[in-house]
Amino acid sequence: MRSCSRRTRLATLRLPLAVLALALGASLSAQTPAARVSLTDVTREAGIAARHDNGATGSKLLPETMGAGAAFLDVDNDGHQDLLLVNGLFPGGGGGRYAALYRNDGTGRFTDISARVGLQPTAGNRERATGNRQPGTVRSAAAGGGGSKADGPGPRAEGGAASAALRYGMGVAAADMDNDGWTDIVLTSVGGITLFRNEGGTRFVDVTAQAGLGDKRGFSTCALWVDVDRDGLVDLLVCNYVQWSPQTDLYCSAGGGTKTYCTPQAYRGSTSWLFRNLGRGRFEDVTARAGLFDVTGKALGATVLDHDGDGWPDLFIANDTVPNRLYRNNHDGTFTELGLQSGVAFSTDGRARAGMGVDAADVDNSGRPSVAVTNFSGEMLGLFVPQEDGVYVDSAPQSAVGRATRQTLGWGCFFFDVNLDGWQDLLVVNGQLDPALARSPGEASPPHLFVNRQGRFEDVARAAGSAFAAARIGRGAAFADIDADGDPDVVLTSNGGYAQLFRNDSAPRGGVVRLRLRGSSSNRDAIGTRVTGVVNGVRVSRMVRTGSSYLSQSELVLTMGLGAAPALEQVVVEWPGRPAERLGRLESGARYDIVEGRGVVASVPYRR
Amino acid sequence: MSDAASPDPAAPRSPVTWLVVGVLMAALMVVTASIYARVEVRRLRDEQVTLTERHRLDTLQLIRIDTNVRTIQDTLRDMTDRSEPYPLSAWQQTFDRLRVDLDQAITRERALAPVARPASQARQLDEAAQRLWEAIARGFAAARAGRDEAARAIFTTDATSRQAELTHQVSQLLIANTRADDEGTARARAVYDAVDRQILWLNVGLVAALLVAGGTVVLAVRRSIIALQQVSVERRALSWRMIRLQEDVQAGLARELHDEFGQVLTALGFGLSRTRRHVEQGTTPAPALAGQLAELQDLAKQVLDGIRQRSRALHPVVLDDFGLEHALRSHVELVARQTGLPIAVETTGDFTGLPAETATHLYRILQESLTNVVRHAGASEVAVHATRDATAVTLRVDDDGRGVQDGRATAPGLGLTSMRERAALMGGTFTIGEGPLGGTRVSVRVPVASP
Repeated sequence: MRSCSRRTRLATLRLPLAVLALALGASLSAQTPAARVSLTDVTREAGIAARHDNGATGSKLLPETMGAGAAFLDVDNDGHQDLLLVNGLFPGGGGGRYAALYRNDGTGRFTDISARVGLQPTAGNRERATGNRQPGTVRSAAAGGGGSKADGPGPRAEGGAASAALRYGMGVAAADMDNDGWTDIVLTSVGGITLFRNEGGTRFVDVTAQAGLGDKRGFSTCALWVDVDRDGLVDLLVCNYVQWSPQTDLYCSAGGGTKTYCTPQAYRGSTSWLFRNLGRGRFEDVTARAGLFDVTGKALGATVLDHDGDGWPDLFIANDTVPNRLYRNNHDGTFTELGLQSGVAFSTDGRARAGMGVDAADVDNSGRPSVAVTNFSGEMLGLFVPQEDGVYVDSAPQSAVGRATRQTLGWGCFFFDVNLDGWQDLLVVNGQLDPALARSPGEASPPHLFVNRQGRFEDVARAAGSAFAAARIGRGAAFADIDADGDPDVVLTSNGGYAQLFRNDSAPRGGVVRLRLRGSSSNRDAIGTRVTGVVNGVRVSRMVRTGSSYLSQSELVLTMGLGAAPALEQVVVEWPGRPAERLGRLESGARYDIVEGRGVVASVPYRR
Repeated sequence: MSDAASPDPAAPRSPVTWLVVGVLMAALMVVTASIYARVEVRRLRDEQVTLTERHRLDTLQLIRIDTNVRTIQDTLRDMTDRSEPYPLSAWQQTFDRLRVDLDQAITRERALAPVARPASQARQLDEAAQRLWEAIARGFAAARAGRDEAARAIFTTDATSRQAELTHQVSQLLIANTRADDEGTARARAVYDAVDRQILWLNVGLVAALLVAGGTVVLAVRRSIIALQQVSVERRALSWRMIRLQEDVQAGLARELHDEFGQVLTALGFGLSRTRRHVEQGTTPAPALAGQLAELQDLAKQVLDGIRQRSRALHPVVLDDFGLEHALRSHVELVARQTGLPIAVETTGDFTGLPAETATHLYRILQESLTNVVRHAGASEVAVHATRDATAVTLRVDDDGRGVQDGRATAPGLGLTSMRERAALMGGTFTIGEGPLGGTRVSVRVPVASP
């Protein structure tokens, strides 16, 4: 939390600049002064200095261009959102660490604790990884970095096998998998899954093999925790992209001269996995039993949504050049795939697009979730809006979202209420596939920030700040309130570049009620819990979810923007499989800690 | 020869009319050509866009079909190579999904196909797909019965060969699509060529019309220039003649004054001197003096008559005193009396209040006409008609004489030119041609205000 005096000083400096900007650029900005969205780059002052190492050496191995994700999570239960940035281990020793983990002191200042908590392989692991090196395809020098200065014990690889092979880091999902009160982490990579158990907020232990996931090999991308059977234990969905290995890497070339990254059509698909949490740290592969087995899939993004409003979590998987899948939960541990019938599999003209990132949210405050899927340049983002009878219509072609994303190559995306007006906005991060292709249609490009003006989207990215609007090879994206002021801040990752942290300085902003939920009989993180409340006469809804975006995860604390309303009225919490809990009225301007069956147990007011 | 049928060579039709007509025709042709071209191009574009979009959507469905068939092929292979840890039955949902996807793609492709597929091709495709799904169903039935090896055998032999058959059918579909695409391109090219030809012919027509219009204008302008040159020559000749005439008139007047009035006045002077002497001498008896004075009076009268006659020739004073109608009748009577020709005069309307210049010009035209009749026509009957209506005064002089050979006289005399010029000065029209009496009709029509 920043000091008030600093905030005041900044505001004092900002005021004349804002007046000047308004005077000079009023005709350039369609945004009304009353809703100016501003995202300020605070990466350096926040202490974030994580550069993604994509392991690229010119061999153009497909995984080099795909990573990596980021996640906000509270590692030490201090109520502040910490930040994890996925990195990786490459055959040959590159990468140096699984991920960079930054602890948030509550004011938006971060400290790198990744080595201390054990997110760094042992020397033995690295050597074994080096042994897998393929001549001419991998880097030969370790990237060192922060990983070499370990200030704590290394990971206790109880299984050993999980970290022995290739680990091109890709995605992350964080949740309390064993309901012990501490947030655990799963990292996905080209090579498989790495599961870390959080031990008291001080250290992460690699329990991949112990959990029964050590033998899973794949080009794993997105991951999310979801309690599909509502047994109180979060299960794990891991996406897989294509059947690739350094040995099977293909030579692709745009002009015939130099090698470029191949598009996924060159490779066979790979099924995603669903692991049922058996408790006691064990997982069971229920992919086939659940009906998710799909070797044709090339999944990059996944999100949880309640497609049919039955309170059970359904799954949406965004596939690259393969039809998207929508899995309806049959309440018995199985799913029925409805992508084709519901209209989300293809674009409106019948093309399977290059699905990357995905998110779902009640963007029109109808109580039903819409789904956004980022795609390749020339394909336009898919914005699937629910109709009657479980059918979705892609509304992007008729909206500013479609026009703005027609020529951009989108990756991470998420819905969040950036200006706290009660309407969920949409952030999309873009980036080229191959930096060497100067004329690639998806050159490093600025992100989109679509502000939701009561159902009508408007891209205000350029007006949100020059640093935010700068072009980058964007990949992951996530949001969380890092400075405890109640509004969502943003982290964006870049392939082969530095992650950037943006503080939300939008002004004026609406009131806010934030809810940190704790399950009792439900899973401890309350994943799958739906909260509704009335704002200005409109019932808004949010769901606690992991996953979404691209390889990333945002905070699990729910943010309910109130606009000018003084409170969130008629609050109802629907815990998974439990009777709805009515909380009545929650005043604006605080974070409420809610425990299943006990209602509000604490509230922390925000200094605004 | 009628006056109406004989164009006046000195008054050619105005080229402005032709110019305007020509320009309007050209503009009309250009506008027509532009509209036609725009409409045709728009129609073509719309057709092309519709066709292209439909073909694009159709191609997407074909790609979807092809992708599905290839995915079936890959999945059959993956399923039987034992690389996945899942039981064979787990694969069924993948094939179920592929079947729904493939069926939908085939249905949509048929609806979108720009040209209808042959029924036999569609049937063969459906039958191939049906055989494949039956084989796969048999395989999964065996798998569910626990006969995995039998199931694998079905998948690797029967289903794989059915899949190859379906792949062949789909490739036929793709070939047909490529052919249809080529035909569509050829049709589009033919349509474009047809429009190209139409626009070419339109341009040819436009150029032809422009040439006709331009030629007409050129001819009209040429005719006008020639007419102007002719008028210029005539005017120059007229000017010379007028000068010579003035000289002739002055010379004649001088001669007449000298020869006629000089001698008579000299004789009158001598007579008066002689009579004066006779009176002074007182020797001459009064009757003789009276006789001398009577002779002298005759001489004086003779002088007066002569002066009057020449004065009338120089300016018709009668016009000023009695108006046009009386002056016309008076002159006709004079000519009839002098020549003995029977000249009928008929006037209609009120001739009072005419502008003096108009009356003078009409009077002179009558004078000239009658002079021409007397001098050249050899007529035995002449009729003069003068009419005034609300808008014009018309004067016609008809005779039964020799007539004129052609209204466009090859070398018009001074009189004719003079009459034409006078008519033009009054803003009227002058025509000369065959008359109702068999000889010549001279007609002049002059616009005037209402009496």
